Amino acid sequence: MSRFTARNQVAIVGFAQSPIARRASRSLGALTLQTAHAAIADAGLQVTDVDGFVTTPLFPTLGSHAAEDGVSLVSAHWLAQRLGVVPRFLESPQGQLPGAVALAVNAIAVGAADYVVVHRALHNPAGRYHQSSLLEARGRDQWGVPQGHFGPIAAIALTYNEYVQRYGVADDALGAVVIEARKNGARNPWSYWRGKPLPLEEYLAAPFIDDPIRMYDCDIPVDGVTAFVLTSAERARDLPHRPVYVAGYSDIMPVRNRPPSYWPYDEVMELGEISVQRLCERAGAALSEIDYLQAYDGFAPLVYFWMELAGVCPRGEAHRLVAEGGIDSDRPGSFPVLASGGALGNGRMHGTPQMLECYLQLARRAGERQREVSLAMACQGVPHMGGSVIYSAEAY
Amino acid sequence: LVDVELAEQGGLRMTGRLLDGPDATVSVGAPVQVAFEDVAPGVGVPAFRLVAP
Repeated sequence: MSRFTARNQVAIVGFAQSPIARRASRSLGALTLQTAHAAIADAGLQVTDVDGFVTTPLFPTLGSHAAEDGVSLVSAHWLAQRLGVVPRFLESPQGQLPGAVALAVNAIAVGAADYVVVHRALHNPAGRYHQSSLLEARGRDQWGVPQGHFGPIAAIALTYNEYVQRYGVADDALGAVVIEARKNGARNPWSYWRGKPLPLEEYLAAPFIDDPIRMYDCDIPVDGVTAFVLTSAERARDLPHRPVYVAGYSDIMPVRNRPPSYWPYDEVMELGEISVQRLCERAGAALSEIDYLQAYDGFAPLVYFWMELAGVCPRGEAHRLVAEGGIDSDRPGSFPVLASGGALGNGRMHGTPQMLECYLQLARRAGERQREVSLAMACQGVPHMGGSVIYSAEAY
Repeated sequence: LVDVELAEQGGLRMTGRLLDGPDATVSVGAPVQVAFEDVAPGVGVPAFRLVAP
């Protein structure tokens, strides 16, 4: 297999995070423009320096909301045009944040662009988030939707039930995951949940959305934007902040023709393992060398899955480790995989809290949360159709 | 909702409602039998019932 020649050749050099609100007072486009300007300034650059834009603009409702550029999503094209830049590289692919990072890294490594803005803009539309107007189930939907198997919450409920039964997980175990995420999110000035940690009683009092998934096991839809600036390791040396290198990336999609919201546990983990193996090959690093992990938590059980895939603990034991305080960010010697607050503690930001926390730690910009770490892994999505990135403080 | 693998073909799975009610004791591996439920006039979809192992 070829060596990944872009390893540590590209670095994050700046970021900006908008306030995260249930519904922002301005359009998503306006919020994105402001956040992109702030990220470019944070990197010590001018807008005219930026010549590349990448985002995965997914607007993941299942309903009948119109997907309108600048309103409910913001493509790379929209952003470049509104910034008044004539870019050399411009991509708005399907997929998740690690895929956007991958495209930006590749573009910079081959000289297709010098300074790339990677952003993610998430929108919470008026009315109900999914607001389905579905009256008939056609195509692949006909095999599950009439029976009530519709959307990602039904999917994760089945997946997590398999995990619960197989490994003997306590009924309220996920409470510890959500409480840790909310504790950390409550400390973030930009979080929707700032100042609002979640008491266990409130977690348990919330209804089951799809047993065993409770309301607070799901991230809350929000308006929010995160933007990063990436450039070559060489150019990064001249910029104000300590560069954080991209050591490797990986993403994956199921090979079997399954309905989109059907995630059998064994398939999730089987493909997740392949993805993480590729990640390590690209980064030239072993899982044991990773000293910081930010697990994806769009649904609380995914934290267990990513912890186990990243080798934090053996398969089936993440729930015990969490229950014992093993991810408690306030405990020295813990492995705080939700230090960012994640999606459960910030709002539905689709992997940007994880990426941001890895950046802040390795750039030594994490303030009171700062730990002495050198190799950080950020995850996103359900492992069999998600991705991950390894960031490094040093260009090894 | 239950995710059912067909005894006749490993890997072939279907999801459907379990008709035994919310208080039924269910565990992974429990054998079920297909049943049908009418979700709309003229529309019946597969569902399942627990059977004694």
